[in-house]
Amino acid sequence: MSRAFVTRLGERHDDDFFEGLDTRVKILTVFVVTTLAIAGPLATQLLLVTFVLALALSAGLWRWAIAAVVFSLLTWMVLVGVATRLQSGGVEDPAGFLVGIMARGNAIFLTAAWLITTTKLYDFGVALESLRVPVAMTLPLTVAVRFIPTLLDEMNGIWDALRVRGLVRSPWDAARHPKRVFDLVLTPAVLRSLRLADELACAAETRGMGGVLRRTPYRPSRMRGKDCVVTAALFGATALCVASAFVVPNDVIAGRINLVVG
Amino acid sequence: MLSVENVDFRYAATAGDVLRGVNLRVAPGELVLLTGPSGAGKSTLLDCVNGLGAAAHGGEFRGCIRFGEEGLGRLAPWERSRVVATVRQNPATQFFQLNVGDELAFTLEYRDLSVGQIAERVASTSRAMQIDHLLHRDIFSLSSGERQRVALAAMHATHAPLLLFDEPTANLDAPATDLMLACMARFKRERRAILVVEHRLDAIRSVADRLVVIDGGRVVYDGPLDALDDEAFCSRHCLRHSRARSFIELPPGAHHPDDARRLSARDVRWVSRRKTVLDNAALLIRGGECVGIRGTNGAGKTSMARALCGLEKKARGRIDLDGREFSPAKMLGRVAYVAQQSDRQLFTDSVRRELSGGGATTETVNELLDRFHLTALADRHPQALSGGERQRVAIAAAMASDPEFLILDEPTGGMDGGRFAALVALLRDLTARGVGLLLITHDLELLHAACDRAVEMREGRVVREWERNEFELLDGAENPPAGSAPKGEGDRKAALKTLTAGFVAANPQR
Repeated sequence: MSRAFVTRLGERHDDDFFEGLDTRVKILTVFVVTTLAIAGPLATQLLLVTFVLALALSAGLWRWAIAAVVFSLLTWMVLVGVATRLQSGGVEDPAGFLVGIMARGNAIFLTAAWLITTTKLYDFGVALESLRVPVAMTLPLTVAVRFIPTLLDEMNGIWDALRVRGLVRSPWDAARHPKRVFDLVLTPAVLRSLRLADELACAAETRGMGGVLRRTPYRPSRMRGKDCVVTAALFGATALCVASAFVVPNDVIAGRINLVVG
Repeated sequence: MLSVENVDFRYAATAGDVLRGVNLRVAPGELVLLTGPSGAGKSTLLDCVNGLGAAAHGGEFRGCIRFGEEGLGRLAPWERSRVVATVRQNPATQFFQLNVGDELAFTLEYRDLSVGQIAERVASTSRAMQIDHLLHRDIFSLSSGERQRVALAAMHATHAPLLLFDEPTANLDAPATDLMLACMARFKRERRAILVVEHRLDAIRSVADRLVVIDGGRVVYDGPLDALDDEAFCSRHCLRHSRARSFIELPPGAHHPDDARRLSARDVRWVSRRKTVLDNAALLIRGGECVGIRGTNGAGKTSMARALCGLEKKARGRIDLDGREFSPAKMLGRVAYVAQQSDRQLFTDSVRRELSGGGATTETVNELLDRFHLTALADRHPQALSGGERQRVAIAAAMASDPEFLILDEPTGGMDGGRFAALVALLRDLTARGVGLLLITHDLELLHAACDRAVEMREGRVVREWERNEFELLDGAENPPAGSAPKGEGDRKAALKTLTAGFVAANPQR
């Protein structure tokens, strides 16, 4: 997880259409895409993956999209290879299998990535609270994510200290002697993390957290016009997908795919 | 008024009282400077006032703390947050949100205010502190000065009448320190009571009204600031000098710059995320010489040091070490480096193992233990030592491979006078043995006490150099980088004036 990702979690671009969407609508989007990817008819898969790619590219996730496509291709190749070795006939429908991995896997992965990278940590916590998720669950999540950049700084500092002292020369060195490097890193990493976590907790307490007063979010979750439009579009798309399952049966689509790919 | 009456405090994990019968008063509009040796109980006293003492650290509190008519003693930290606001040394661990606007609102969200009131308070505070342009930024992308300004803004937003600062200027450059002082002066005019714990006294005394010195858990002085001019008083209580002294003399013949051994950098360039961090920077350090680098936060000081010791692989340029030429990427392991957070650099379970970790012989380890006064601590866990001892172990471990050059990054942050003197003696001993030192520091007193030469970096370049006999020119020479902040002393003062005016405009009722 890089510093750029942490910046995305903190830096606001309220004029951006997707960043400005209510977090609950984004969570609904992930839910709908996941449901359609898993249980939806094959006819809608290509449509779904096009929609998700557009979503990912609009959020500047083109690297994530390329990585997802490459990863799913490699996974497909490995799985088909293994299946061919294990059984004489190999995979029964390799083209359909490819489409399944590409469409279903990437759709779910990229929508989740879109949710994470276009939603501010603060907004996510507020949305979960407004969905009546208990504070006992939302607070640890917020604290854990807040701690990531601090931990990254610490790990970078410890890694630099190891290199400059000549205890570890390169990542290759660490790969060859993982136990030794782990032993070296463990002490400062754990002790520094505990110290910093303690400081963070103290800072939160002196600033009013932990009391009996209910929190009043100054950016409350709010459904605006565009949120209603997107929600309606999501329900419409779901209805369309369900209807298409009755119009074009799966086996017809599968046959077309085999003609094109196979 | 804050009244601390007969306060004793004992941590659950320690045997004796850390505070013993402490009495202290801070009136509205008054800034009290609280100082004393490390471990004297200064931060503990602040924690007793803001409620963390017993609540977070565990311990036994006796005595009475009141603000006005309200007794704070029995209130939890979150209840006291209506009255008390605290700024700590490390802004990175006092921010709880990832975004500046969210951070300003954080405390207010637990105040039973409406959304409109919170939004109005955030807007007026950001105007007053001139951080409107930062409101949407990620906290971790801010410079040190900007972070401290956000910390002050978060404090300002609470409208708390009692403000506590724990070493607020420890890591700040001159412009950021000036900004901090301007804010403190403004808070005083707003009739807030202010208590500041600080070791670096040169800057803060310009806004302080009264001095309180704690030593051994007791208040040993409560009076005018003039006491800081008394050398004997400062030495007795391990206080830092309140003014950088250009008359600090190096012992005769202490340094012997050796022209035969040189570490020189030429045309060092490093561009990170399209930002030029080092711009054809050049630097020379000779064996047995101590060179200080100063400059504003973000001027490229630490980047230069990292390039010299091979930690920045993407840096380009030429580095000569004793006549042999290396690219920055090939410098790893050739120059020793001790970063500011020394506990990040201690990896083993005993001081002896720490020194022998790089393959040093038993004789070398024993010699280092002796030279760095660590023999009595040889079998202790390095992480269990005090801050000063940890730093000594880190320097000793860096010297275990017998490097000719050593770089120290901000070695005096949070140091009292006693530890400062010990560090200076250690540095002088190293240079006397022929080691070339490069010190990255904002601390003028350290430059005066230890360095033969000083250079200033700005926008990734070395732009000025002073020989030791020119050190009196160092005071006030540290300017902000062009473009990112006003240039020159006059402009900087003008910027501070504007900031102060911003407070008035945003708080007309005050």
